[in-house]
Amino acid sequence: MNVEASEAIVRGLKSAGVDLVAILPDHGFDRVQKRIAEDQSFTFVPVSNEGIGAGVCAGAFFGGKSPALMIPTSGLLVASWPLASLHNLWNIPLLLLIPFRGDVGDAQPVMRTYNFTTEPILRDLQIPYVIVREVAQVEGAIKDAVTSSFAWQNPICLLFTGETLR
Amino acid sequence: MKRIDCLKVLAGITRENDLVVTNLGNTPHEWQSVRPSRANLYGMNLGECTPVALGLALALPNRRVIALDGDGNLLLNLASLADTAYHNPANLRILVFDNQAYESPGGMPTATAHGVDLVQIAKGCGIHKSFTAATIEDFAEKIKLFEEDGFCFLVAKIETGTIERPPYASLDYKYNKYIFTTYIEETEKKPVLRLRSRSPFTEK
Repeated sequence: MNVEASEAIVRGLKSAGVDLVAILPDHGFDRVQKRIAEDQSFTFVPVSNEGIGAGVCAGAFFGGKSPALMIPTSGLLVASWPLASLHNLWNIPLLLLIPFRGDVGDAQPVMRTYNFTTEPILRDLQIPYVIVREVAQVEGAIKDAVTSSFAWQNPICLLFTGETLR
Repeated sequence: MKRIDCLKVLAGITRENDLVVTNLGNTPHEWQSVRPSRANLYGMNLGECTPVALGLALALPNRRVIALDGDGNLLLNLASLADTAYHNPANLRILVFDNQAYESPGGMPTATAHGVDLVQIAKGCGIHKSFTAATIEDFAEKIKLFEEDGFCFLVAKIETGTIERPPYASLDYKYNKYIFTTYIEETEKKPVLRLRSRSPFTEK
């Protein structure tokens, strides 16, 4: 993810009121994750698998936090269990941030699978999502996602691709 | 040692404002019978009891959070012990009821029935205050650690079996969500649900 998009994510999270970010390190989010780790305005929660991160975010919501889960594309598969058994069943808000590796234009062969899995899994989990392709979209997309996530008591996902990942 | 007897001892030292997160299965019904409270968050599915308790403890560092986990539930997500040790929340207590069985779905043995030692795993993760209790007298002594400062981990070795349940539950988990969140809003004086009264789509 480029510098401009990374900075736009940090600004967007702050302006939307996100105050806890759980992460599993990801190449696409490397720069922004380091920025968030250094920023004292966020409770920064690195975890060992994405299912733990989803659980931590659910607990943080119950404690009054506005959480975000920032994970690799593959991590959606790992997180799908708590996203179904916790977030979907209980209607728990969550901002889910995922780089859309495997989108057309990605030249990494191992990412091809996620072209087939990412959007269908989000639809099956009843998680509305927005594909963010331009840096100029980032802040507004985060604000809208957090607004609807709490209003609907449901996770909302942003998939980053295009200009934001290059 | 029976779980219900342990829970009665735990209820005796639990403060009114302690937040208690339970796993699925028999524990939530037994805990509700000895400590009915709006501060209880029941029914975390496999692998999610300790992670949810960790998130709650990090969000509310001034409240004591007690996780009532089980061996089968914890084994699905053992890495949550590593992450909890790493974050080391001083306000978190984890109590694992180890009956060495997946009791609710029929009683097949868990890995702890074959020698896996959750306390040794916890210690290996860096949770130094990790203990086992095998008798109710031992449990009554070890549970006093929950009153001390700092994160700690206790495994209660229990037999299978549970109390008689009424035919109908008094709440479902989504209803429990609203009971718990409104309790937090009242006691912490801050919004949790953050439901909107207007939409940006119609605001002028």
